[in-house]
Amino acid sequence: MLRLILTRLASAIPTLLAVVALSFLLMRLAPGGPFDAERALDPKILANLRRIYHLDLPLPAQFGYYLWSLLHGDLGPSTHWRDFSVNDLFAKALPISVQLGVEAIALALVVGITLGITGAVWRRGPAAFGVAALSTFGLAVPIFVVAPLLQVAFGLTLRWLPVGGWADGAPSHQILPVLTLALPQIAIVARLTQAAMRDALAAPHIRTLRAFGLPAWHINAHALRGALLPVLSYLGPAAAALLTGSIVVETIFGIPGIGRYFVDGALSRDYTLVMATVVIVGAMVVVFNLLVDIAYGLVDPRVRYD
Amino acid sequence: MSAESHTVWGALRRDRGGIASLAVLALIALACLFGPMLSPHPYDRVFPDYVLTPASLAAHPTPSERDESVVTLAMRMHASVHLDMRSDGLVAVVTDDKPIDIRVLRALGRSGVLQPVDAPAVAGDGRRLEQPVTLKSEHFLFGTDANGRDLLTRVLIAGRLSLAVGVLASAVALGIGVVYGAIAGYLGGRTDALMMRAVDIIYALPFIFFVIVLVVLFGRTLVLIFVAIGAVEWLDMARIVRGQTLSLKRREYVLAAQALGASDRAILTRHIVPNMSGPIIAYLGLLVPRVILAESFLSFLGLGVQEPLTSWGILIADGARNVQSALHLLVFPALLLAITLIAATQLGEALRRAADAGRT
Amino acid sequence: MTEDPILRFENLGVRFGPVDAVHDLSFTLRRGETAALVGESGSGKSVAMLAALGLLPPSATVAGHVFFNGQNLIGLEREKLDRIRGKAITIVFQEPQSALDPLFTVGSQIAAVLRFGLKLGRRAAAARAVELLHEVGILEPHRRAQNYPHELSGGQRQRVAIAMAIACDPQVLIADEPTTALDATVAAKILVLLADLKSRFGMALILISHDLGLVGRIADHVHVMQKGALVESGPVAQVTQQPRHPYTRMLLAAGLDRAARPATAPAPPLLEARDLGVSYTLRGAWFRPRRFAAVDGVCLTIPAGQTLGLIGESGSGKSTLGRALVKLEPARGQILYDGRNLIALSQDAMRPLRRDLQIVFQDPFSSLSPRLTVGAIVAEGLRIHEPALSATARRDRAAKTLDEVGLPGAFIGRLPHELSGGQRQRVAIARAIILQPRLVVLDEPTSALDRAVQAEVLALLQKLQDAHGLSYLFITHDLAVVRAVADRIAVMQDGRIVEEGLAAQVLDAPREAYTRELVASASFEPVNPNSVL
Repeated sequence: MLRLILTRLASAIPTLLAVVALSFLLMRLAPGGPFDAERALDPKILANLRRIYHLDLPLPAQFGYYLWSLLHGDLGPSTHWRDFSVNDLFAKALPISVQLGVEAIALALVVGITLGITGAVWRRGPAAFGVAALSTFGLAVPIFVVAPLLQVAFGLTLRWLPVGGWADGAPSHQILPVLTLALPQIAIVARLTQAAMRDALAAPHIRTLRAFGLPAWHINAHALRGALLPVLSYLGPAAAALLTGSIVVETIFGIPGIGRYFVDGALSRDYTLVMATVVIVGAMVVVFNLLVDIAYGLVDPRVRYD
Repeated sequence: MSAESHTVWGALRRDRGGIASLAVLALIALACLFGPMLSPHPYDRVFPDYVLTPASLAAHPTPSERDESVVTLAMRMHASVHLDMRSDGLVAVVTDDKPIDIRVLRALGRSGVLQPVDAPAVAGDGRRLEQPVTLKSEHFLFGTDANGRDLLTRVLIAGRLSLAVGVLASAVALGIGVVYGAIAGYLGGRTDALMMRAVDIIYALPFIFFVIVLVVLFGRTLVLIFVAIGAVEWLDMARIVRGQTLSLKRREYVLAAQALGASDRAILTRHIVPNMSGPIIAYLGLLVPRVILAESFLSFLGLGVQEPLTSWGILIADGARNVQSALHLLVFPALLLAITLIAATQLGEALRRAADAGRT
Repeated sequence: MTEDPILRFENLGVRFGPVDAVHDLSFTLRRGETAALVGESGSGKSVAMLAALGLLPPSATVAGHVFFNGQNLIGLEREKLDRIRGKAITIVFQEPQSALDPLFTVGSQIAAVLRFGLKLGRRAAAARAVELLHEVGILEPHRRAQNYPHELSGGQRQRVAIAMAIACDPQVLIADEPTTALDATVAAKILVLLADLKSRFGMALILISHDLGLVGRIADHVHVMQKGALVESGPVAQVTQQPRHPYTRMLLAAGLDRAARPATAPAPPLLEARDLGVSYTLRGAWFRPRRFAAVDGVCLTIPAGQTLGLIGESGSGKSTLGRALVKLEPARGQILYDGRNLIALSQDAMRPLRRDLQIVFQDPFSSLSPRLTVGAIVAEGLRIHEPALSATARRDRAAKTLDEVGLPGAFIGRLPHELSGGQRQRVAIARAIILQPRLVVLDEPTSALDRAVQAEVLALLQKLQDAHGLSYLFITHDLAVVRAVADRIAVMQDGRIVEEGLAAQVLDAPREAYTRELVASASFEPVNPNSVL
């Protein structure tokens, strides 16, 4: 078990480093800089600005500087919101995005797994139909169409819920964004669970249990444990999908999370902010995958000795 | 045609869902390609009289639209204007308390609803102009946007771009993926391990962030958008091709060819590559909808192509902004996108089934 | 043995849609009796047993009756059935790998059966599970009970499955091909274990197998099934010695000449291997590469114009050795052929020699390029070695070679998937002999074929050897086959040659303990239930 954690950790660190290096390199390769405003700045001011942001140093030195400050938890100053450091922005934005993501994944797991199991056990029941309908919907109607439709239905027509804004996380302001984020994940989790559960119920070792006359609840519990493995390994990609989704959801609902800062930063060429977002998001995905890997090792004995 | 593609195609032809999806896709592609040419309304033509007109089958102008346009016309002519229905046709009657300059009739010619016919007749000391006109008749099946442009034509024009990006970006992904995967799989050993480790690293990242970074850094040109999407979507292709190469390389018919003394090149071209096309085609079928979705995503955020070019993502973003006043702006592009995604995915699934059937 | 019937099949029929899987099956199992249900795969023998235990998928329709102690099991409601299956009637499946749940320890899986079957408490069940592991001959049962299935060998897993099956002291034990997935020596031990447990627990045993020779060793009665129907039944001595039905005769003999080939005169060596080694780097090798020697220090001589049989269990390295000899695996050491060391030759220098050294693989489904026609496959060697030949000349040669292996010339335009297994193997043989080689490595050439087809292919190989003076290296795990074809035999274990000599001497008077074990496990002697495990 310890070996599993160590090897996974040993592969996570280079991944993280590669993310930082890749995003850094891309930024520096790009034509145009953050101070390419419509009107030219005074050369002296420009030189000062470049010095403050270490843009006058050679590339490896800039990377060293960046890595050094990253290790100290300093993400650098924002070039768009001049009075703020990226740390300041993230300190407020990150908890909001994480809260949305956690709520969405929890909702997706609860609803998706329940739906998937029901669909697998009663093959022609309403749950199986629901899984099929939901998968098609989740596939064909992207999140950026779902969000405005929900706004029209619940915000403008029924007037049950606010159309946007965050209001310091008031529950009524969370419902629509979380639902929007969770909907495609519910579809995927439900389909995954249903397929895995059907496979598990047809597996030879389940036939063994039936051959030995064990009770149905015992058999279903065995099947479920095997069926949840694919769902567990989907959590890694799900985290990435939720982060991607948060870009759209936070933009449409006007939520001050990192997704929205990322889009604003991208549109205004805020190098440090965009880079910091990619690094943070990359780190979150890498760490999350690490946790999922370790959890998988705990559940599936076959992985531990690889 | 070789044996396996023959069986893949044969199996697909027997797959009713696959054929239906193929037909739907072909229909959408043809409509996007030729529809704008056949449409009486160029996609960038502005109809100032029809702003945010809802979708309908009825002919425009409706009576209320006509009256509204006549009011606008009168303001532009600085005279009072009304329409008079006579036995020999419709006549626009322009009156003023001072003699009318006949050049004001040019405004009448530019009207979106009226078409002057014959010569105008002047009466009452030049204070009254009678201009025989006909009523134009326009159809806006999908309605018009906030600038008064025909949404149907715009959706079709946008579809051209979305489909083109889907195909071209997939081709980029195919090219990179096949070369990378085949090299890794054929060389094997440490090179393979290193190359696939790099793929794992990139794979772990939320790719859309990188596409956005690429697009922001290197500009929002059309070429860059499909290169950027293709450059991050090749990973799966590389894995599939590598896996196929690895397993085909150890097949006994490849060993038999080696035992006969066949060269590496002959083995690759005669025995490995031709047997790989089934899974690749099947995966391409699933890749194209993903790429189309990625492009709409970028365009929706305003990070994709820019005016005057348009894509489904841009139209959907436009619709999302106007969702309160004009739902049709969101519904029609989203519907076309949804149909395309479903059909393409179903076709991909059918191709995968066909490839599986061809293998056994 | 008493005359008291415990299980009675009456006109059992099973259909999957239009497919008739079992048809009008009737036979009786007596208390304490061992019955063998024999037939080739697809003959319906497993399906009949699954039907009796209510384990078929809902798509199957079952007709007829199966009486257990007078109670009909077919259509019995689940609660009543669950009081019988796993307790009074238990089953051991063919694949011990997939029959056990990979996510639970083997001890807990046995304990679950005890807890629900005998209503034992948690602790008592765990203790009894360890005892059962000991009963089925697993060493260190305390430690093994904590293991997961993937940590055990195939033989150990099958012992665990048997422990589960005897946990509730059953009256009938059904063993569905219990040894098919196992190596010959392990299979023999499992068979001995079953016979031993049967006599100790006083169970009746139904043994399902495709191998009449194997089950003949422990069965009292034999029932032969073909295409879902019973074709012959009787006491084991009668069925194996005086088979009435042609299908039974085919299963028994399959046309193989059981006597060894007449001894042949010593022949000069054609190809010689000296201190040959092949090793692989194992997976997970990024940090610490681990080497695994598949072939280790092998010295071997292939006599000209004769057949050297190479036998050994799966994983012993015999296929790797065969491939290394024709330079399809990178190897160390020396391979001497025609006065040259093949190991030292480059790809280009090797190419002209390749026409002399050919190979035929086990699986005729994967050894033919699926998109090439039979003609193109057979003629491939000509394209490489006689490039001057015109397309028509190539075609003629291909047709002639196809004729030689007994295939009509019309096959030239066919694709491999249109051919049967035996036909495909003939195409693979044609591809190998079209260049008129001197040595052909035959890597289990008949193992994937049905018994009847097997005999035909062996006869073809014999004919080609006589006609062209071919030398064969015949790799097989099947001792009956090697006895029929080999002049000399080499025995391989863990990458090394442990014994080599004249065929009759190796098979009838083996010097090495391993060879003796191998020969004994394939013999047709009845098993003594009281023999040590």
